[in-house]
Amino acid sequence: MRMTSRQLADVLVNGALKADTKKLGAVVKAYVEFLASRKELHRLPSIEKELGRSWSRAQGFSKLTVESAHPISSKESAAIEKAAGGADVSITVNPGLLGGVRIQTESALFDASIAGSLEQLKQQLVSSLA
Amino acid sequence: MTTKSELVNALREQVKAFEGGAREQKVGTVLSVGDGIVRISGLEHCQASEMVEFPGGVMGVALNLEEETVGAVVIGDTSSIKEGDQVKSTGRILSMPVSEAVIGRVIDPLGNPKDGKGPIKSKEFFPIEKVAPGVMTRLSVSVPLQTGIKAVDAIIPIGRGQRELIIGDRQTGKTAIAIDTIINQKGQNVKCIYVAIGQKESKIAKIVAKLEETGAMEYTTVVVAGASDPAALSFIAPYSGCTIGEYFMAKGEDALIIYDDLSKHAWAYREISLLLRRPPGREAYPGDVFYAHSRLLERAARLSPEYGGGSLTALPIIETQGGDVSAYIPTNVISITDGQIYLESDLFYKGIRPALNVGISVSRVGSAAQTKAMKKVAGKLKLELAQFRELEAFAQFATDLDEKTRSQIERGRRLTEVLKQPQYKPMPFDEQVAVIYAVVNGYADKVKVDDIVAWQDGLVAHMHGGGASALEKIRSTKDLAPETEADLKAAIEMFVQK
Repeated sequence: MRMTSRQLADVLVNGALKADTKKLGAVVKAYVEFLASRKELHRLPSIEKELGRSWSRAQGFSKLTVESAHPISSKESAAIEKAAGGADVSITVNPGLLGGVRIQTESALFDASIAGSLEQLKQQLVSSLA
Repeated sequence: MTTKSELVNALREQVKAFEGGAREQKVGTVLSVGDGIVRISGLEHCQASEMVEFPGGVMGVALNLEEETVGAVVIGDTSSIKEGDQVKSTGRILSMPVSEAVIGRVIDPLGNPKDGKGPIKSKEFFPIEKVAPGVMTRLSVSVPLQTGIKAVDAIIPIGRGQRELIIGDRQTGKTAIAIDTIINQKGQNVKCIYVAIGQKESKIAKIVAKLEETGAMEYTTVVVAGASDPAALSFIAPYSGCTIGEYFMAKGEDALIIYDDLSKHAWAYREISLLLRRPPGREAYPGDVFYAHSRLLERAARLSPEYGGGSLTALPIIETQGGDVSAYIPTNVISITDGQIYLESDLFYKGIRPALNVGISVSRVGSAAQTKAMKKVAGKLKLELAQFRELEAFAQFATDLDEKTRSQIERGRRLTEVLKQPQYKPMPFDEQVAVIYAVVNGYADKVKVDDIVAWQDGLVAHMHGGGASALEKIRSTKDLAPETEADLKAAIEMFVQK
């Protein structure tokens, strides 16, 4: 039975999530062997493209961007990494936020920054004028 | 006058009432932009026809909800949207502000002013797409909506809550009928909405100027999606015009809406659908183009008194190509509406204006939407015209015909002549009754066909002078009772003798 790239990516992600980090190499080896047995190694690039979405389906998100107004401590960033559940984490400093943080995944934006609050206040004032 | 401290206090109160803090927002990312269509990844839990916001406040509508992506049309300028931009969902279904303040204004399909007369203040938002009133809430059409056009009011009467299609080739006077109808609603307590879909801005400007000149803008709203606006605006324009009409209908008022025209609406929808890669059907229109029009026209209704008793009358316009009424969109809309006014270019060039083909124009509501007075005179008119059409072919052998046939042809010619009417000159129904009564009863038989127009003007002037009591009775009773008829007859005879 032919499987879509999406299904093949799901197989890899689910296998990898169940195994612990040390056995990851073995999982990937088994996966490549599985592809080779199906003569589908050429599909690896398209599977790689699907991996992000597969990861999101399994874990909720695959990319996490944290912006903060001031540099955050290594302890805090370690906590973020842990909470991210294996997603790609990027932490940047954006003084434009004035204060607080802004956290973004592929489909959601959590805004707890001063700049965001000010924007909200501006919208409220404008809409009360209309 | 406001003092400075009051201003500061007002500002402080606003700021005090503000509840800040962290908030969550559903977002997505622009994957591709082109031809007014944006594909977006992310945007989980996006609803069908939900408004989405692009950077810079440009709005879009989510139309295609797919497994991984959302296809949206942009309402406005796409040039500022880039790949990778963040898209925010608003949680709001496509809606527009409605209020009394839209009357007399020219607006775009989202309710923004286009006439430079300042912002329109409205507190209520109505969704642009709404389910039409159901069976239990409706009442059958029985109150006439006078168009002021003799041929229409007498032969193809339109009632409040009806949907009457105006169909014909380009340059046959379709818009003219619609505009005359709006002008004739003065003092009739009917709110009018004119929706221009993909029209030339110059034509719209001309129409607005004419409505202002005749005082019709006082009760009219013009919704504009011009030829240079994106197809998405043309697509939603009739729905938003209908939303305004429904607002008045819900308040128990009568409203009239003109869709000028639904052919261009179908084109706009075809464009959007093809760009969204929906499968094309007949003439490349999408499969649900029928539903696009039927759900729009079903929203025209007359509500029963328990539901406020308001009404929304729809006059959709369809432009045919080469008189072909059997094309896809014309047949669709003909089957949805309660009748059609068919305009022909041949008649138009013959000088019969409005170029109404009385043979194939119908109103399925029929005489239920006519005043008793008009019903009495129109019955005879229809019969005479039908006989005339049968005999017309023999007209050129006039000398070889018997007396009766010849007189029928002559009567028919005068009837055709009297049904002609110049643009922007709607005629009140009492005058219509008097004029048609006079002609069908043979009072014009001795007048030369070329002189009918002058004769008619003379009759109307006379009716306002010597025959004023008969006109007044027709107007107040809306009936042609025997004594009213006797009055009318006497007044006409007096005029004929003069």
